[in-house]
Formats: sequence, C-alpha cells, structure tokens
Amino acid sequence: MNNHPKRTSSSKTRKNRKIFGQWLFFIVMALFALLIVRFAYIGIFKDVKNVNLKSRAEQLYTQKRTITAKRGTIYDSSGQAIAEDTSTYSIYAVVDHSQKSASGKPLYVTNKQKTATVLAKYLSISKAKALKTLTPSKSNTYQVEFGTAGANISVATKQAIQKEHLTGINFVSSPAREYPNETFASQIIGIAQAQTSKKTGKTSLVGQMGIELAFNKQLTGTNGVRKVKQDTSGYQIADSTQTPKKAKNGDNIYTTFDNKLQTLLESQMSSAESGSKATSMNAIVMNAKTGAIVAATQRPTFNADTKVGLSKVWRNTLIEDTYEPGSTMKVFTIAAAINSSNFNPNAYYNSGTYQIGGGKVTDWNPTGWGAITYRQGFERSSNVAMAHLENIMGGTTWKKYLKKFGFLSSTNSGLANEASGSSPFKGALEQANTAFGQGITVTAMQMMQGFTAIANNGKMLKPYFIDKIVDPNTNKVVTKNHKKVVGTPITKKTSKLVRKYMQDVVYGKNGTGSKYKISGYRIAGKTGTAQIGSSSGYESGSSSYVYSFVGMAPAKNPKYIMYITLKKPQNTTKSAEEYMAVVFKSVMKQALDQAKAANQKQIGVVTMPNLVGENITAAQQALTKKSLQVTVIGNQTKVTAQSIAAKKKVMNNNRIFLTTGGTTTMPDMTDWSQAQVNQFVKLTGLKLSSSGSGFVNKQSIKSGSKISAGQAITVKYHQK
Amino acid sequence: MLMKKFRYLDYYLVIPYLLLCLIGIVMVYSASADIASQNGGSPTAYLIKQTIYVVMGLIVVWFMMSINIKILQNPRFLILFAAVQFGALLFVKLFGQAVNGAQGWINLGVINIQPTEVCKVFLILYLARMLSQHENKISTDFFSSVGGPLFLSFLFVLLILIQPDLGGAAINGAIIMIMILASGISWKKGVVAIFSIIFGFILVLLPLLSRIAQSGAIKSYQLQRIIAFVNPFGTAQGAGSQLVNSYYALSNGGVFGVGLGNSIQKMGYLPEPNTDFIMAVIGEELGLLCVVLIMCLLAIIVARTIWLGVRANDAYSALVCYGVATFITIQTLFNIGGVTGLLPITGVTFPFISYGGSSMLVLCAALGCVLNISVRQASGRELAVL
Repeated sequence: MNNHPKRTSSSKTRKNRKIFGQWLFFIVMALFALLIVRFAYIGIFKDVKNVNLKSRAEQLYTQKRTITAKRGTIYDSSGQAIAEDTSTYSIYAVVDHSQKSASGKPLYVTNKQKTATVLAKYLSISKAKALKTLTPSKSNTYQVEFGTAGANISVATKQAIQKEHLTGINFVSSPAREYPNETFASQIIGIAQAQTSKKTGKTSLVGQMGIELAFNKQLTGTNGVRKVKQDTSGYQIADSTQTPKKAKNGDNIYTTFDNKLQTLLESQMSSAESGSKATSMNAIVMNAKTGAIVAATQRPTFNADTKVGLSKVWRNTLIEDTYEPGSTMKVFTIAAAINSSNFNPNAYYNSGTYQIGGGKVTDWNPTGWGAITYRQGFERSSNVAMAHLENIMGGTTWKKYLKKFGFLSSTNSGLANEASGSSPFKGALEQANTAFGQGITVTAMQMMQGFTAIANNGKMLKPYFIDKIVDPNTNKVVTKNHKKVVGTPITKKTSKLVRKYMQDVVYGKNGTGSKYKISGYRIAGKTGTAQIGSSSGYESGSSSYVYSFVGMAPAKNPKYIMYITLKKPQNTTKSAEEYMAVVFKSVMKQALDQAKAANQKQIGVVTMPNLVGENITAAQQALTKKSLQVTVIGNQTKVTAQSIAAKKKVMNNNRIFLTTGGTTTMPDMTDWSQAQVNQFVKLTGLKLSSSGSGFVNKQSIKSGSKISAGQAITVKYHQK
Repeated sequence: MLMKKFRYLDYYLVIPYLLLCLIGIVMVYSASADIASQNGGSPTAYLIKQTIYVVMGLIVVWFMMSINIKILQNPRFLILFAAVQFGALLFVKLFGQAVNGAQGWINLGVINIQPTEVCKVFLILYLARMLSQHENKISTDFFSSVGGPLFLSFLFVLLILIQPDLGGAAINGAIIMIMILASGISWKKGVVAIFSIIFGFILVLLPLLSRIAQSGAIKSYQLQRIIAFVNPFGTAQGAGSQLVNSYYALSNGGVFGVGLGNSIQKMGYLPEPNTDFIMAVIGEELGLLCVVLIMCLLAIIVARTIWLGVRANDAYSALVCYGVATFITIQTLFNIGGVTGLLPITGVTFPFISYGGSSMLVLCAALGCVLNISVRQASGRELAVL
C-alpha cells in the first residue's frame, strides 16, 4: 500500500472529514436507538394512536362461526321421514378469464362446448341455451347463472356434475326441506322454507304452516357458536383452544300418520276430487281406541316437495274452516236424547214437517213418510225427528250436551288458527235446527272428537297426530302423547245404542248410508247433507251442499273412525255419496285389514344396525334377518352409506338403501311406495317423471340395466 | 496474500454479518413456508434460494475483500460500471418486469437483478473516487471540481425516481448527500445540513405531503402510502392494511415473542412477510428482545464502518466507509420506520435478513469493500508498528 502515489489530504479537509464522521456516528446511533425505542413502545404497550392493538388483532383472528343446528325430522308412525333437512344447490359459472388460482390454473370456464353439454345432460336446459348463457354479451361479466334450471339442484345432481371436472363451475348451497312423500297431509305437516334473517344475514329454514310452523321452535333447535382463529384464507390456526358452544339439533317429531293409509287416502281423495270437482274436501281417519289420527287430508292440497298447488289453499281446513255439519250431527242428538232418557226408539211422530217457534222444520223429503218411529226417523235421516227430540230434551239440556261433546270450543290440536265454531242458539226454531246440524258451525276435528265418545263407549278422546317429540341430542322423549280422555258425555250403554242405530243407516231397508258397506266388516255410520249458509240465506241446487259421512268399524267395538266431507261437487253426474263411499270403503278396509294382520303378526320394530364399512353381503343378510327390505346402490363390496342411520327404530318390511359406490344397476321397483322411489331417485341422481299414485307397477328402465346420474326414468303408480 | 488478509479479518464486521445472515435464513424460511405452500410451491423454496444467496454473498464479500482496491478506483472500470449502470436503469424503465407495481427488475434467469440496488454500490465507489480526487478543491471550487460527477449521480437518482421507486431514490440520494457532506467541506456546514435535512423532512416535507395526499387533489400510489401512514386505522381495509397488520404482529410478539414458527400475521395478513415485513414477523415470533439484538448487530456493523472511516487517513477509504454506513443505516431506517409506522412504507428490505438476491449481493459487495479497507488499515498499522 505504500507503493502507489499517495494523494495527500490537506489536514483541514481530513479534520473536517473526521469530525463529520464523528457526528455521523452519533446521528446514526441515535437513529438506531430511536428505531429500537419505537419498536419497544409498540411491542410493550401494544397501543398506537390510542388503538388497542391486542384486542384489534384478536377480533381479526377470532371468527364466530355458527354451527347450524339441523332442523328436526318429522316422521310417520313407521319411522319414515315425512319432512327432513337437505341442501339444494344453485350453479354458477365463472367466465372472467382473469380468474386463476395462485398456481396459475384457470378458475373460469375453459371448455364452453363441454360445459354446455354436461349441463344440458343434468339440468333442464338445452345445450344451445347453456352455451348462450356461457357467452354473455358484456365482455367484463364475471359470472353467469342459469335461471330456474340452475337452481334447486339436488345433492346427487350436484355430485354428478362435479364428477365431470368442469373448470369454472361452482355451487352455492342453501338449506332446504325435503318432503319425500310429496302430497302427504300437506297442510297438517306444513312446510318450512329457507328464509334469510335480516339481522344476521344467515339463511335458515322457518316453518310456514302446519306442524312445521306450530313446532317451529322445537324443530329449529339452537345454533352453536365456535370461535376459531384463522388466517386470511380461512384455514383454522392450530393452537386455538376455544371451546365451542355446541349446536343443539332440533327435536324430531314422530307423528301418528300411517304411511300406507295416508298414501291411500291421498290418492283416493285426489280421484274423488277430480271426479266430483268438489270445491273442498276433508277426510280424517282415527284410531278409535286412542284418538291418534292415522290419516288425514284435505282438498285442495299441495305437493309439499314441489309446492305445486300451494297458492290455492294455505288453510288447514280440518281445523280452521267451520261449517254447518248437517245430518252427521244427528249422531250426537240421539246420543244426547238417549243419555238424558228422552229417547224412545219405538215412539211415533209425524214426519215431513214440524211447526216450531214460528217456523217450520222440513225433512229432506218434505212430504215425509207418515207416522214413523224415532229409530226409523234416524235411519231415514229425518230432521223432524231430531227437532222433536231437541224439543223433548229442552234447549238447555241439548246445549249442555253440545258442550260436553266438545263443540263451540277448540280441540287444542296445537296447530295455528284453530277455530272453535259457533251457534247463536236463540229461539226455539234455531235451537231445533242445531239438532240436525244447521245453525251451528263446527270444525271437522271437533266432529272427530265428538265421534270418539260414540265409538269408545262414552269416553271422549282428544284427537292427536303427534306421537312423541324426541331430542336427538340426548335421545330423550321430550313430549309423549297418549290416549287422553277429555270427557265422558254419554254412558257406555248410550254409546252402544247409538252405534246400533247407526248400523240401521248402513244396513237398514231405508238407510241413507247403504253405499258405505264394506264386506267382512260391520259399519256404523251416518250420512249428512248440509245446506250452506250464506249472508242471503241457504244456497240451493244439488251442488250447494256439504256432503258428509261418518263411519265406525267394526260397529260392535270400533277400531277406526273415519269422517269425510265433500263440499259443493260441481260434477253431479255421479252422486257425492258415490265418490265419498269409494274413499271411505278403500281406506277403512285397508285400515281394518292392517289392524287384523297386525293382530295376527305383531308388526315389529327393529333397531337399525350400523353397516357403514361392512361387507355388502353381510349387511344385506343382517337386514334381511331383521325383516327389512334392502336395495343396494352401486356394485362395490363395502357399504359407504345407509339410508336410515344406525340406532334408529324402523318398522320391519321397510326398505333400506345401502350405497357402496361404483356402477348401479336398476332394481325392480314393483310395489315400491312413492317415498321409496323418490328416495332412490335422489340417491342415484336419476331424473324422475311419474304418473298415478300409490305403488309402482311400471318402470321405464328395466331392472338389471346399468343406470347413471342424470338418466331419465318414468314410473307409473297404481293402487294395490 | 489471502491468508494474510484473513489474519486481519475485522471480526466486528464479520461476526455480526454472519449472525444476521443466519437469522435471515431461519426467518425467511419461517416467514415464507406458509405463503409458499399456499401458492402451490414447496415450503422450502425460499429457504433454499435464500441459502444460495447467502453463500453467493459470502463469495462476494470474500472477493471484494481480496481484490486490490485500486481496481475499484480505476477510471476505466468506473466508466464501464457507469455505462452499464446507466444502461440497466434505462432498461428497467423501458422494459423492466413489474413486481408489485415497480418495474425494478431485470431477469437474468438465475437471479433477478435490481439496478437500483446495484446503483448504491456504484455511487459509493464512483463518488468516493471522484470526491477524493478533488478533495482539496471541493471547499473552494465545488461545482467545477465535482459538478460533473454529481450531475451524473443525480441523473441516476432521477432515473430511479421515475421507475417509480421512491425508497430506492431516497436511499441513493441520501448516499450522495452524505458523501458530499463528508468530502472535506466544513464539518459545521455538513452537520447543519444533516440536521436541516432531517428536520426539514420531519417538519416540512412529511406534513406537506400528508396535506396534499389527504386533500385528494393528486391521486397516486405513492400518496396512498402517505395517507396510510398518517391514518393507518382509518384505511385498515385498504392502503393502511400493511401497517396495521405490522402493528398487530409487533403487538402479538410483545417482549418475548410467540415462538419461532408461530406467527399468525405471516399467514396471509402481512404482505411480503419474508421481505419488506420480515422484521414484523421476527418481532411477532421472537419478540422485542431478538429485534433489539438484530438492531444491535447491525448497529455494530454501521458503527464499526463509520469508525473505520473516521480513522482512515485517505479520503477514498473514509468516503467509502461513510457511504456504506449511510447505505445500511438509511435502508434500516426506511425498513424499520415503515414497519413501526415512523415513516411511510417505501418497500425497502432489511439488510442481510430480508429475502432477496440483489439486496444481499449488493450489501455484501459494500461490506466487502469496507472489510478490504479494514484489512488495509490493520495491516498498515501493523507495518507501522513493525
């Protein structure tokens, strides 16, 4: 270093440099100190500009995640779901070409042709239309949707589309309620629909009518909250030690509806409705021994799954509509008369007309049948006989009985807007009119309740359709309904006599209910034809009546009571009775047959075993042993899913679907119920179109052929 | 020769440097593993690259330390360097690859070169040579003696400024300023100038810029950063998000840190957790104590460098030392100032620790020069003693 010509610094510049360097040293060190102090300030005090950094950061990381509670399932009496939770999806396609993943993979639709073909295969949209949707006119469109064709997509369809590995196709899920039986006591079960809360922005299912509405709180359960720490992409950060507040799933409701009877009743009512063109119809079938309603429906009704017909009538006419019942009321008139010792079946009176209270009571045959006994009068459905009986009893006694039979007050079914009916009950004529069911309004449910006293040896039972409510989290029974005696308006002796006279109606020479005979069973019944009151008096014409029938069987010791009403039939080529008789006879017979069979061989309830992961052959054997029917979906050897969860109770002979994955072959669906077909279709992703009702007798895909999701199938149902 | 140089190796410089590089490797890995794997890459991708850069840096240090310092003073070398540097700055302005808004990069395949970074070393070497050559005339005839070189230097800074790279321009500008003030002019003027610059910046420039930015009269990316600096919490969802998340990281870490690898803020909340905001991640994971340690290690390097400059008898050595010290100090100031909200965020990396090849190699080159000077001083003293 000594060899190069050394540039000599003047001592002055060197001194300047050195002193400047020293200053630089102190300034730089001061800067470092300043930075350290600033760092320390933030790290120690965790506060900048009066913002508490610690709590702010906590807020940033901690996300309250709602754990959505599952809405309770509504079951029929055999443990098959009537209403249950599911998800539906709506599809959307990203068309913005700038959407790429971090690793550069496209997140938009790359192959429009293929995408359109796939969508056309699974959704009700043509390829051309799908292609058009995928090619929006605006160049800066981010995503496109497919209207109604792209909404309400089932899980199976969604999975089938996902298997095609299309880029840019995404799904949004929303909670939905599934009603596999479609039309099944729709107004009583009600519906729940997805609603978005304005407060929380969360979408959840809310009951809109029927049991879904009345028991909305129990069905809904309580959402849980989980606080999680997470990074910006939503991944949970490992050491979050928050204890979650568990979601409490909604209670399950087990109804008393008998799947077979209800399905039969629905299809019979539908054909009666379309035949008679009645403006409305009601039908209730009840277990006479317990008050449990085993089937009930109304017309018009709606398909709870598709919501078709929902706009026509939201009301549950069985409990919300009041009407003048007409002659079926006479059952209670003679019951009251007998019970108050005012009935002499063999005493004579003059039929035809009866002057009372400044007015006139007329028989449906105004010329009458001359002097006949009261027993005959009941058989012929004579109004005059009833007016006399009411007169003999006296208004006070009759009113007392009306109340004892539960009229003029609600049955407290638990459903919303239940009516209690009314009667002015003023003046001798009006009071006499109530004895044959005019001048008093009732609900169909009140009539049913009253009839239980007749059928059940004087003991009146509260009608109920909810067997029990079970908390699925603890398997505890929250509510259990039993047979409940709500009064004893008449004696056993009276009830037996009334049933005896009611058999005259069906089997007597002049009985008005001869159409309602069922071979093999003895029926006690009463017909009714009520005028319909309006503001301008009673309407006239043969289509202006409420026709009704009540039947109990077996007459000696009734197991079932069935009550049907049919209002204003517009098609009068066949009489209203004929339509009602078909409904009554088929359903009542089925009910009685079932009861008989059950007596012979007690229908067993078995507990569903856990089969997931089991060998399919072993699983099939296990279920067959339990007298369950098995349908396998897929051709693999291990069970991956079972249609009814383990530990659930199942009635034997129910059909269980076991999924194994792989290719599926079409089963023989003969005699499957609509619910079973729907369940199968949902599990396999087939596109179903069906006709008729009841049970399968024809299927478009031959059993044994291979099926794949998206394939169309047509199924025909018939009544067995 | 080499062995002899190693004998005089300046441990005050080398040990802190090596420690910082090691901490850097560990923390780049910790800060980047999650981001890298989220982006679909290997979690060790940045670790491997940073290790390579550190090794390359060691070679550069060794090289710069070993060469005869006269080569760096050679006019032909400096003219070539100036030409290449000018060309590079022009190239990035015209064809540069945009990374995070600034077009600062030239892709050389293996490594992305940032001409702005290289310019710092160029200016130190160039000005040290020019100013030392004319040191005796500077106080009397400033412009005619060093006017040309200063013009060229500020032209380079202008090119950097229009890239646009405000932080880079500021650092390069600061290097030029300090080197002029240290060139031998009256130290009183120099000190007054430094304080004028500091206070002028704090009391005039920053408030003025804040006022302009908040008035909304001019909208630009740079002004957004000023708004974010003035009101980070008000703009936490937008421009202020970087600073706010940096605050959260420091607050999470506290004195002792949440532990190596446990940073939450690096999981996507903090942008650039392995480069510009690595000190926030270190603050979060290793706590204030480790941050102080790192700052002290860096302060030792800077202090030692200035001290070597003060002790140097020749103007060239002193100016190189002051230049390098300024380089490291301003870089640290801008980085930590941004991370702690003392200064607007300028996108400057933290010396020796942040991930990045250009910045590492350039710092190593600068450190190598200082080591070279240190060895010369040490051996010179020894010779003198002998």
